[in-house]
Amino acid sequence: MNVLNLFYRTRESRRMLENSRARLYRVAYSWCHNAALADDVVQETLMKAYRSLSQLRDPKAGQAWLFSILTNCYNDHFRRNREAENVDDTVLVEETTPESQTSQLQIIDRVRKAVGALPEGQRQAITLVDLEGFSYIEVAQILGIPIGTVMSRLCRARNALREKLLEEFKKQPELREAVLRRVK
Amino acid sequence: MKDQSFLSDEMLNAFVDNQLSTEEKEQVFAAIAQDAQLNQRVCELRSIHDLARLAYLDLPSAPGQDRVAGGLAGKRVRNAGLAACLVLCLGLVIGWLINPEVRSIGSIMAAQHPTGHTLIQAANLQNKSKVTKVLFHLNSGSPAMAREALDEVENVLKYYAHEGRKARVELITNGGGINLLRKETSPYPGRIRKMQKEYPNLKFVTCQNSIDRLKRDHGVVAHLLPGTVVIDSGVAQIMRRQQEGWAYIEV
Repeated sequence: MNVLNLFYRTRESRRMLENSRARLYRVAYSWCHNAALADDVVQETLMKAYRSLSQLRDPKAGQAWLFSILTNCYNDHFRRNREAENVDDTVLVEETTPESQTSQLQIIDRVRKAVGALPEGQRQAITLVDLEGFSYIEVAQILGIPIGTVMSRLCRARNALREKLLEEFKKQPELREAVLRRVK
Repeated sequence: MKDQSFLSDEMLNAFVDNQLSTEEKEQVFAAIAQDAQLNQRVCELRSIHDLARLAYLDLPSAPGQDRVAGGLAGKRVRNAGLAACLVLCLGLVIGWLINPEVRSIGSIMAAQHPTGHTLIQAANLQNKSKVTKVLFHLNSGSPAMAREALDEVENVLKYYAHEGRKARVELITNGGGINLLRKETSPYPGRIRKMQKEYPNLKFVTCQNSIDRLKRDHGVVAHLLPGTVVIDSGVAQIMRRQQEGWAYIEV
């Protein structure tokens, strides 16, 4: 029975890994704003997670565990390249992207640029909460910092975004009324 | 005036992120219902939260990212709809900042509360002669959340019917929430039908973008329950309704 149970758990965990790629990629992308790097980090994360699946006792705790591996892989990447750049000083902004060539996407660009301009710690905290809906306790576990630090980083990040974005938005055009359709 | 010194920025953020206990939420709710500035602050924080989430809905794929499963590979940026959502989202913020009428009603807008009880308390703050307009928002596919949404909607409708006051209520669904209004997946079609008959002032609304996304990503064609109203974009509709002074409750 135990063997069966173990088999079932491993299969569940593998499925969890497979289904988590898009979420991991989203967060990794929001951290570095570089599609190729985000993909590499996610790939490395999944490989590490796959190798250490046996350490995961409770599949329900898997998401926080997986994102903490992502954090480690991400930090490792920049640690390896420390001589080249200091992450906290880097403004992660893409100068030319397909998006920037499309005027409709200016707002997305603005938000992403504002997020990219946040210090690393704040960017990680706000994206985990806003994009993935992790609780503050989970974010503290993932990033390996106290919950008070999560709260203060999040607070500073939102304040910075508010100052940067909401001022710009006052210049936006008026809204148009939409057309309603009723299903018979 | 109640002492509001306990409301730090961290506390307001935790309120927006639904990280407070029920008791703490009650306290914050009571404080923002009395203080327009606090209320504005909560609305701004929530807008920032929504914007950050929307900005990363569609991402560029990595070069040669064929290995990516789960719909990322080959996914193009769904620019038009998303950009429209964002513009409308911004419009809300501007409208909210500029329009004093909306701001006064905003004490309810700011509330995200799991029980209809507090909503009713908040509704009492409003001018009794006006038609109260309440927008519920469901974006989860969980049947438990759907039931909670229907319970809340029914509580509010019952309350206003009992008090003999006018109210308009909309339940707007997007994302996974559209399951509630799909014939194939709705856990409570009978109850919805009954509520529609009983309350002519209630509308069930769903989002065309979510329907399109379902078809594109999963190849599923959604068939909706009779009487369901389809709107171009759920997010845009929420923004419009908020501009029109509707109270907004996220389930």
